[in-house]
Amino acid sequence: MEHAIKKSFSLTQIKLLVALGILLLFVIINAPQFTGLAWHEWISFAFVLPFLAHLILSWKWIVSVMTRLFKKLPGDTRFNQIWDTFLFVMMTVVIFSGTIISEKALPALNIHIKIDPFWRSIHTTSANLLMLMFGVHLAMHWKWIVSNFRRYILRQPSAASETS
Amino acid sequence: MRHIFKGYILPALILLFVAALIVFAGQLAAQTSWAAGVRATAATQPSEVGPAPTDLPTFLGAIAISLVRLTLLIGFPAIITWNILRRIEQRTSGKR
Repeated sequence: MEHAIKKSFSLTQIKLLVALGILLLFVIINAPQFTGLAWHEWISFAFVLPFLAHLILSWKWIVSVMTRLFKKLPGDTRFNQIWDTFLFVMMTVVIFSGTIISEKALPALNIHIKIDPFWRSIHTTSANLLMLMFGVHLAMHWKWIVSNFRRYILRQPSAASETS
Repeated sequence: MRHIFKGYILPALILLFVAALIVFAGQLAAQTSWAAGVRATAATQPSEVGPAPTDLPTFLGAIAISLVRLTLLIGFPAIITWNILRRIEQRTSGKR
């Protein structure tokens, strides 16, 4: 029992660290005027790793919610299910379009792709939409982030984190 | 073994299939006349992103643009959603 509690706490801590890492990287990626194109591309490629980790760490939730696609779900869970699906679709579009318009990272790896202005336009539009969707996703999980940040980073005990 | 397949491998395959489908749909969309219109418009516009700022005025300008963009596109939707959630929570706790 004690082992199980210890294990679940460490999983929450990992989830929190990954979530904070994603938040930080997402903000940096979406300030390309500040980082410049080369850093924007390299950081974006690096972002795929925490994004995959986030999916793997939330895998149980994803599977449990997707297997109840046509069953009754609480309102917030249903909203998260639909929103996160669109978020995944948008993330796929942004990653794919961003990869094939790469001007610095891929040529540095000796991969040369002729840049299509269509995909550049798609990348800009979908990235802006993704930011809007990310804001909503962030707000939906803000309580969890704050309570666990207080608990594990600031080391303040809180009642809310006990239940999440 | 069956549990691993149903719980992990099958959902991962579905997720990969959906991602591949999106990419395929995108490639198909790139062949349409709509894409040709987008391409023609985008080709005349310069790229929004260039090299990293090297002097103080461009550095400050880049920070200002980034802050405004991040606030408008991430901060605003987050605050609006947060307020809606709070109101829903207050309403449901009031009903109890």
